[in-house]
Amino acid sequence: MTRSPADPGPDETLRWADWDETVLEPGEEPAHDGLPAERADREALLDQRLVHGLLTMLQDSREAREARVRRIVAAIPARADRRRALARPWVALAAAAVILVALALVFGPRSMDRLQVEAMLREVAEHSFPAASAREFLLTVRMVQPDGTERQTGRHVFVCGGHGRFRAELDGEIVGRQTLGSDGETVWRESHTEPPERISAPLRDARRVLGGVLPDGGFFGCGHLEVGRLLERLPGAEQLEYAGTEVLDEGGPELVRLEGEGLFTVGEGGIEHAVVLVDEERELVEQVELRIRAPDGSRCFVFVFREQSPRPVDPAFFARPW
Amino acid sequence: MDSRELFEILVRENQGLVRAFLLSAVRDAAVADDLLQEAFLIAWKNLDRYDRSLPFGPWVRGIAAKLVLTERRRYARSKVYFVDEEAIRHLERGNDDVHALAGDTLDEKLAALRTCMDGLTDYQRTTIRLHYEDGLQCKDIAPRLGLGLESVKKHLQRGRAALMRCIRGRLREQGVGAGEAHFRGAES
Repeated sequence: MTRSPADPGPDETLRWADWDETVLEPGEEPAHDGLPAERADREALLDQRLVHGLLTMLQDSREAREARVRRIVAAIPARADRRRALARPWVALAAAAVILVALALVFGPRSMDRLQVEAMLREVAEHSFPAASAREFLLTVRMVQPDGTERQTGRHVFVCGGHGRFRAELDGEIVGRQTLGSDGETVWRESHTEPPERISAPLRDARRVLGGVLPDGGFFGCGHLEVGRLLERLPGAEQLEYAGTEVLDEGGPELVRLEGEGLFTVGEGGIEHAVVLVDEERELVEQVELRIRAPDGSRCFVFVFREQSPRPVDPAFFARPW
Repeated sequence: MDSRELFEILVRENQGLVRAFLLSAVRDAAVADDLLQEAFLIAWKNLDRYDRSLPFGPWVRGIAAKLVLTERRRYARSKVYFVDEEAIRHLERGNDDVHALAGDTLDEKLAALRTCMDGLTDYQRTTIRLHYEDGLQCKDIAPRLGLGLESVKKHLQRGRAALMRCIRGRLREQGVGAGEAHFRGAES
């Protein structure tokens, strides 16, 4: 039987058609999310998108094309501004150090060089903190689900007072709710359970007090942010590339965005993706977002470190509460 | 001629194919144009990392691909419909193949696509023209051609598939290895 020219033909060769968003009417949602399971269908669908992109681009008028070129060129800053952020050593150092904190938190200091980490902590404690202010960091942890969506599993606040002083408010699925800290001489931990579990010890026994809560004794004494030598210990930090600017909070400063892929590998895991947001005016790493996969490749988490406003150092804040 | 003027020439020569890639990868044309501008801005700021022995267009396209994936991660839970990493790689390879078509300019490269239009059925060609040249939605095309909505969509899809096959043929005639490797899977 001869097919009419108006008949588009049998459906079986268009198994991917329900996924094709390019033929939807405005406001219409596709019947399926993502891509079809069969590879051949996926590729046929993507070929549709490829041709769709070419055909759409082909309709560009000369005027529209010129306007677009002018818009792009007008957005280009003076050459002197290019990669200004990356040209400043402190940015790369600070970014590397924050990434290091995340690595140690996830994999433990063993993933790098423990002696180096401990030396760094001493150095930071002695030199890096202005006596009058403490730095506060908010860490949110999201677990990546099998379908790619993310679920928040933890929200932790760290306050670093320098000279060994720190305080952490932990609230997460793994660590539960607890507060821990040190005034530089005594390290302590208190769970938010009924009755509360309380433990304290001299700082030299920090590992015993904090073990099981933070990796390898919880060296989260903070302040790793200025440790330059560690950059050399962290392969990949120098691979961060300028990736535009963005504003985190409405009315807030424009932040420089640095990005990198595959910065650090541990077994089948490591840092899959890193985004560092830098406030150039204040010379501060404002936020670091790391997508980290566990060494066995099984689980993947997104860690977001965000620096909060500095706060005055109050010795009582870091002291054992009981 | 200063570096800015030279860069403007590079933008003029390469924005078309990078934009085609973004229009393939992103549902919303306005978002694609924003990403296009951002990709060239990043290229400008990273010019000293550009390997001048390689073509400029695919380098910027690579930056654009990273931007798409970043946007996708950022909006993963809000259904903004950016394609995933596997899809991006496929689209990048396809874009590379178009880049490899014979011709010094994009217009010359795309002459093949225009010629391929002649090989479509009348319904496929008319549907594609009404949709892309006249900007009509499928539901507006259907009454004009006296067809049902689904038939219009299928003519459009089959027409695009035929164009893709035609481009593959051109690449084979040119002996473009990458194109053959890329398209072999799609044909099986």
